[in-house]
Amino acid sequence: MGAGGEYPPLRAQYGTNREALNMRCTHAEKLIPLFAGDDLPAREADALRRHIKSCGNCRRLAAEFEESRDWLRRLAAPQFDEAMLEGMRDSVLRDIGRIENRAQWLQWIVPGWDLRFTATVAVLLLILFATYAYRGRKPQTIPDKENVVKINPGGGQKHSTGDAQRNDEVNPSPVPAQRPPLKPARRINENRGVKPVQLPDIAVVNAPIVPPIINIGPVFEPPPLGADLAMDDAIFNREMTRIEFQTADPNIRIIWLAPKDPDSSLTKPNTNTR
Amino acid sequence: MEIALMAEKIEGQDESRDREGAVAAAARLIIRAKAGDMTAFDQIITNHQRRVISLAWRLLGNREDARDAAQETFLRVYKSFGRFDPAQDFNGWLYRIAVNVCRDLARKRRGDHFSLEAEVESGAIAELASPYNTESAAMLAQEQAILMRALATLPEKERAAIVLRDLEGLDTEEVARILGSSPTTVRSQISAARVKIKAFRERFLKRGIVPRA
Repeated sequence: MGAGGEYPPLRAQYGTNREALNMRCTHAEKLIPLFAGDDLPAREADALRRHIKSCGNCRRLAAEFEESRDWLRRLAAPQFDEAMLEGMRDSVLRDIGRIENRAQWLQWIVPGWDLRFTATVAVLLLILFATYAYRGRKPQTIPDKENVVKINPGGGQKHSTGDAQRNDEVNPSPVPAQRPPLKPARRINENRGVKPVQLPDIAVVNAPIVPPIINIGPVFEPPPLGADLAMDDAIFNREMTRIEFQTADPNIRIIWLAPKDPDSSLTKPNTNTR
Repeated sequence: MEIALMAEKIEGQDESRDREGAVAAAARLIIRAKAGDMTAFDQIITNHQRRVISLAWRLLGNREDARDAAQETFLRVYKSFGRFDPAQDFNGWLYRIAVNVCRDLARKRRGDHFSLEAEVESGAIAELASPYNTESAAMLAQEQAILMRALATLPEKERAAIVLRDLEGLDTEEVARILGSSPTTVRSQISAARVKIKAFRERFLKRGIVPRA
């Protein structure tokens, strides 16, 4: 009964110690590789030494690490013979001599030669040259982005600013930096009071195309103040038909603005089959 | 007994005086070399070349590369002498340059599909005891080859840390200064390297290749 009565507390005690020992061992195992090479701070090393005295497993582990370290330390560098070392030394001195000679040669070319100064001057010259070269390649006039009229492949006309209302006046003839892709010479201007007419496509092949920008300002210039406003309105609001012809010369385009007259045969398709 | 103690004390004083003298002489040599004295620089190479070439061999595992690395190290020392402060530890500075040179060279070699492991595999590292034909020399050569192989399994930083700490015998703070890391990082690298080397050795022990110490 006595033994039986003592058993559970003993087991509990054993279990507690075992657990505590394991926990300490887990920590000790992490420290042992450093302990083997005296790389632990004194306090930690003392604590570990005490643990190792009481723990056979950790003691064995520490001995194994020390053995492994001693084994590694047996790695001897090969014996480098004097001839090889001398050859290496000569080679270094020769290289240094070459560097010195080069420096002296540069000193002879430019007295007071300084590598940093030279590098700075070289970089500055390079920047200057690059700037000059870049400016030389740049076109003299850059078309104002706001004034460039873009033509959509679909035939519509848009300003690059996105302001679709602004179409009264555009830059007369800017030379573009890059030639736009060849397009059929068809253009429909959707100005106020101008009704576009679909014309047959006249394509200009392999000819330089000046952006099809047409100044029609003067035609639709409002009459000066003081004029007969009623008359002006009649003229201004009169429906006009705009007809454009692209000639073989891409620089010449014939624009014809004709008043739209319902009776006029000009705007009416000729249905006379005779 | 007293005479023996006194003799020991005098010997110790002589030793420390010799050490101080050697340090002062080395400092004078460095100052002269820094001022452009080639004889002094030649003397510096003579004094340190063995240590530098051994370190390079341990890091690179190849005799030719070690020679190239040592050569490059001294060239870099010459080129950057202007930036060296004589109050600084010259050996540490030299080691740092050597480690950097070895690192650069190893990277270049890696680009050329070089690896220390491959060198070991090809038997190029079994050059250590080749002049001797005895059985023990052969055993030693084999052991050295296995040791090099163990080092070759380590990542670059761990290898540098363990070589400097365990083979060159520098303390952790010095190793940290040379590698440009913190002492904590270096301790962690050393610990990891020791665990790997122990595991490597145990694999060979099981096969009976590595003799027990």
